[in-house]
Amino acid sequence: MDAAQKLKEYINNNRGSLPPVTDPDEPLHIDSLAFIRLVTFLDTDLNVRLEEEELVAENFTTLRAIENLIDAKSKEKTSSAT
Amino acid sequence: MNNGTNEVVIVGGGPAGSALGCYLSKAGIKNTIYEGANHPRDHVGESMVMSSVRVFDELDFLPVLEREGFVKKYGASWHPPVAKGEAAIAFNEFPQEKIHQDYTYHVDRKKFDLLLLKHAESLGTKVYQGVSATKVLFDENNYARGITIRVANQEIEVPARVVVDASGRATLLGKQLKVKKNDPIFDQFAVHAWFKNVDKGKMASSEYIHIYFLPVKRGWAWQIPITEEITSMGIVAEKEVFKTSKMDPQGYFDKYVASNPDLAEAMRNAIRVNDYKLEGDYSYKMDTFAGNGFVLIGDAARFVDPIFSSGVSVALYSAKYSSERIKYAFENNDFSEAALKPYEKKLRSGTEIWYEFIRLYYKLLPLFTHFIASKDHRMEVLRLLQGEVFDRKEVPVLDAMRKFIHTVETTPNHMFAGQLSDIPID
Repeated sequence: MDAAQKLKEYINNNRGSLPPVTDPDEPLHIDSLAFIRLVTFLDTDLNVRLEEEELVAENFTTLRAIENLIDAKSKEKTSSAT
Repeated sequence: MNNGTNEVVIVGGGPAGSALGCYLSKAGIKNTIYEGANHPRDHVGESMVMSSVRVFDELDFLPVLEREGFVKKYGASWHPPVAKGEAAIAFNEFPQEKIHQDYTYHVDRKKFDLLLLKHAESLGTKVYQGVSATKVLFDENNYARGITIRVANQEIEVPARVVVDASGRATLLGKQLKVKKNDPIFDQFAVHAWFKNVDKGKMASSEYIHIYFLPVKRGWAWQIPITEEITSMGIVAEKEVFKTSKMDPQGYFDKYVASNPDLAEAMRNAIRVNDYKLEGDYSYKMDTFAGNGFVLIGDAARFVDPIFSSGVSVALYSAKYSSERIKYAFENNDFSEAALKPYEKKLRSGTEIWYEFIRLYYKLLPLFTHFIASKDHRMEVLRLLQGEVFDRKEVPVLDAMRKFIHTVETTPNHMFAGQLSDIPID
């Protein structure tokens, strides 16, 4: 399973009473504890460690925004590795 | 009563005074406790941190705690406001030096305080209960030389080489010397009572302390198991919140129980078994903890917001560290401020770490939850939560918390920006 799939599965399993995400651009409405858990999930399960200043609203409004953030972070990692 | 033979007079037989009595008696230093109340008596502050276990071990008090069957506290759990869910820590994740068990205790303070006082007595401390100290006496060289006590409507002088103020929040010497400073930031107020039928859940965390964040300024609730049936519940918020609510304790309590979904669920079938009690004057410190012939220990020296169950631990460590200097004073026949002052330095550096941790915690509540969830910071936060604040040169996690808060303050649209409180961070 790639990172995007894992992310989607995680989000859908942790939405409480909200229905699964169907549109990657729909607002996620993440509360503060769920947000903290998501950041921990990204670090632990997807190996994406975010800087303090990356924890801004625009990076977490939608599924697509989080996917883009993960992509950007992976590219950053690849370029710094080469 | 004794006349002229007491070496150390301790005002107050709460955990600070009793623990000091134990240490001094073990060291062969004659000491007497004058306690104004008659134990058992009620007291707030029913949950402890791990570091207290180290002192109980030194004082041979662990077998008593085990024999009496106090509820074992293996961890702590936090519940967010509004949404459901918990973030928990277990003490066995990060064992601390010289502590040989992975739990501390929740206690009925009536019972606990009496047992510790009796323990001091069994080690050789002389104990008078129902005898209030009215003031500390000073000689012409400005050395404490004893106290006055009130017995049968008479004031009697009791001489001493060292006077210890362990009078708790009565702060006998702090008031007499006018060295008490109320905290400029925290002015909190608690309403609490015991309940039965609290639903503590089925999870491993059911016997932890549970802290519920409330959607009101610096508001939180505690849930502390006292016995299998009885649970202590308390609501804490800024005093202004209680004042403006213009309600009776019952209405105030019910309103805030309803404001947190997990708390409301835990309390759904709860039945109150004793009267509501109110506690004010939450945070203060004394300008001095030690002077010529006297020391201040426990709540009589410093009181920090009780969010992390630090109170009894501060009392016990202040007893431990002051006993070392009192011992030194007798060995060197030097009872001067200079001889006793190293105790103050040691205690103050520890309580200031607690205070800074508490201040940063209230500054940005989700930061605490974020740090205990993070791989980088969890262990260091756990270390603080266990009460490891003494004898530390530096506490990098507090710097990390300050840096994070700065980032949130200066980054537009930060996810936590809306949750910054107005607490000043210098």
